[in-house]
Formats: sequence, C-alpha cells, structure tokens
Amino acid sequence: MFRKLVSDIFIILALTTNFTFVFYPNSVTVFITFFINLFATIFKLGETKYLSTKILATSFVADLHLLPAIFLFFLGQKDFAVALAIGALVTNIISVLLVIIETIIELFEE
Amino acid sequence: MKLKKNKKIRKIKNNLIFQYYEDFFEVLGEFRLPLFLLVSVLFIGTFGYMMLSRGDFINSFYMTIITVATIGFGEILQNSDSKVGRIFTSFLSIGGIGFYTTSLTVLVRAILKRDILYLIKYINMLESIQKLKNHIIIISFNDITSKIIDSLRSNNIDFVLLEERKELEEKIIKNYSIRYYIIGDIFSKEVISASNILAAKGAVIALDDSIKRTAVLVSLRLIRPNKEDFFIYVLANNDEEAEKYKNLGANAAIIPSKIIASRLSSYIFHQTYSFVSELLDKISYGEEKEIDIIEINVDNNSVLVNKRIDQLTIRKKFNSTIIAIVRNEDLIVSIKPDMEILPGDRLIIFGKTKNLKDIQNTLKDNQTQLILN
Repeated sequence: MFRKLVSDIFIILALTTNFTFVFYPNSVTVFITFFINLFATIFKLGETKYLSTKILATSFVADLHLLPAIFLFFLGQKDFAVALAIGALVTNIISVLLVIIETIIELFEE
Repeated sequence: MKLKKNKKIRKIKNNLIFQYYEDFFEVLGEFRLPLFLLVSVLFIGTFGYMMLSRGDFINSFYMTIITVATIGFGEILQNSDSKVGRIFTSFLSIGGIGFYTTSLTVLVRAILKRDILYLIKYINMLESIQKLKNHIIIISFNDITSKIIDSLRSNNIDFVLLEERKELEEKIIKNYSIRYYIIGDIFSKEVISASNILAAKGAVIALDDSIKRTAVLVSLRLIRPNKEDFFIYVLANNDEEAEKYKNLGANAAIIPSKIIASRLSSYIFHQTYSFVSELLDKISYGEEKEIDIIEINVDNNSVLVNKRIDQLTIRKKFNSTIIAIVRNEDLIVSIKPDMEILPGDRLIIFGKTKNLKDIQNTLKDNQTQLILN
C-alpha cells in the first residue's frame, strides 16, 4: 500500500514538475523535473499489475526525452530543451491516465 | 492483499506465459533499490554542488561523479574549494562512495544473472509454441520418446515436449537441443494449454507411472474429445491396461514388451528368410523410405470398378504389383489377369514409394486414361 502511494505520488509529481518546467523554464525546474521523472520510473519497476508495463514504458519514454533536455538546457539551447520537455509532458499525461484506468479496473474487481 | 490480486489475474489469464511475464517483472523489481540509491546519490550530489556554484549543472554532475566514483580529479567547480564546499564533498564521499559502488555491483550482477536471459528465452519459446500448427505433443522424456523425437525430426514434424522433472531441463536443452519444451506440472490446465493443444495433431503419452498416464490421458481427451481430430497414443504395461486406455479415449495403447517380443520371435521363426521379415518390419515402422505397400479402397464411383486386372496399367506404367485383394474380409493372394475388381475391394499394391504416390494421385484425380490400358 505504501509503495503504491509513493509510486503514485511520483507519477503525478513527474507530470506537475514537467508542467512547471514547460511554462517556467529555469535551471532548478529542469533539474527537479529530470530527477523526479527518473524516480517515478524506478518506483514502477517490478510491478505486475494490468497496466504496469504500459505505465513503465510511458515513464521511460519521458526519461528519454528529459535526459537530452537537461543537458541541452545547460548548454544554452533552451528552446530545444523545452520542446523535448513538451514531448515528455505528453507521455506523462498518458501515464497518469493509465494510473487512473488501472485504479478503476481494480475498483471493479473488488 | 497483493498475492490475492495476482491470483485473480492468473484466473482471468489462465496462461503459463502470463505467469512467466510476472516472474520476469518481479526479477526487474530487483533493480529498484540499487537504481534508487544510485540516482539518489547523483541527485543529492548534483543538487548540493549546483547550490554552491549557482546552477552550473554540467560541472556539478561531473564533480559528483568524479567524487563518488573515487576518480577525484580535484575541486574543479567554482566554490567547491570553499569551506562549505569541502564539508559537502566530505559527507558526499562518506555516504556516496559506498552507495555508488554497492548499487553498481548489485546492478551489474542482476543483469548478468542467468535468470533474466533465461526468462526472456523461455517466454519467447512459449510464444512461438502458440504459433505452431499440427504439431505432436510428447509427454515425458525417456528412451522411447527420445527415439520418437529423432524420427519426428527427420520427418520435419514439430513437437512440444512436456516434462515434469525440472532436473532434466539441462539434459533436454544441451544433449537433445529440443526447440519446444515446457517444464511444469503436466496435469495442470496451464501447462496443457501452453502446449497449444487446440492446434495440435496428436499426443504421445510415455510416462512411466500408470496412474499419471491415466490422468494425463483423461485431461487431454476432455480438451480434445474427437478421436479422429486428435490422436492419443499411450504406453501400457499389459493388455488389461491397454483396454482401459482405449475405453478412456486413447486411439491405441502400445505395450512395448509385446512389440519387442513379437519382433524378436519373427526373427526366430523366419530365420531362413529374414530378409522378408526385416523388410516388412521396416515398411511397417516407416524406416524404409524407397519401397512401400499401400492399400487402395475401391468405392462405387471408382474408375476401377468392374475392370479386369490386365486392363490396368499399374504394372506397365507404374512398375508396381497388386499382390493381394481384400474382399469381404478375405485375403485373395492369387491374383489372375482376368480377375474383375468389385466395389468394396481393397487392392494391396507393392512397389517403389514414388510410383505408389503416382498411382494414388492418378486415382484421386480420376485420370481414367492413365490407369487403364
């Protein structure tokens, strides 16, 4: 239960920080966004529920967007970094939707 | 609560592959702690140095890595040589080096562990079994089935081996390089359906234990009730058991000792003309490939009806011989040229396999001019 809580918190945090960065790109937001997304992926590892693989995949895609984004940002290419972060934002929205669907499925099961 | 949920999933997807998927993701879960520690160390180190240097991410990241990986190129970052910077570096080294090296070791070991590669291979195999069609299911690995496997292989027929003894797995993979096998509880629905029984042609049950044989036979027959669609051959210890298996739905029950005995005695009794018994043996067991004996059923619509033997081209054109005719369950062995073929007869023809195939095809297509003079 606790693990589920932590992993849900990080999935939603990944989305919200990503949003913050896209609208207010600076060195702190990009840094926080990148690491929160990494943690969100790590917490999803090892789950064997219905949509876990899909959530893991979307969250991994977000990481792949943000990894070049953070380096590009600090190398001065801010526009490019924001563009990549918008891509990550899309996948983060999908993964939050998947978490909601998973919760609904579980509710119906019980 | 978690266990309960997993069981529920298994119930819905009553499927062996899914269980192995689950195992695979559980193994992936082993990466969680080392990855978490590794990323945490990088996060804390980089964040600290970024505070010191007012947001220089790339150098802070680099400084963290050279510190925790004990490379130690020096205090390359702005303000890292200040007192606060040195306090931070000290504490980062104390905590970070341990975490960093331990988690890297655990990660590399988990990746190199046989488990993950094995699971990926096994899942791939189970998936390709689901694509098989008209394959044979062989139950249990022993001397007899290893010979069956050899002959199936030489005829390019796919097969799936089910085996319950886990310790045999290595032997099966290494010595016999069997492509499709499932190790598990052979009575369970999961294992049986993982062998793709719905698309299979038949099964051979060669278990040593007679109770197990019965149980497997019954469970297979329950899934595939039609004897003509799906054959099942079972080994039996004696006549009584063989009869029982036939009643339970086996197409045939084979008593190995009886077959060996009759083959041996045929050699003893036919000593002077052992060539014939050897040839007949080889033909009946499918070991002889060049020469064969076939049966042709003459039905009412056949072109052969009411034709005399000397009207046929079987000897001239196909270089084969009618050696006998089965008529009303009698075997007529003296075939005369003026004999007439009646509907319901069964012609027994001896010749080269290639020619016999040609005869069968000609009759199938009703090519009257080819078969008649």
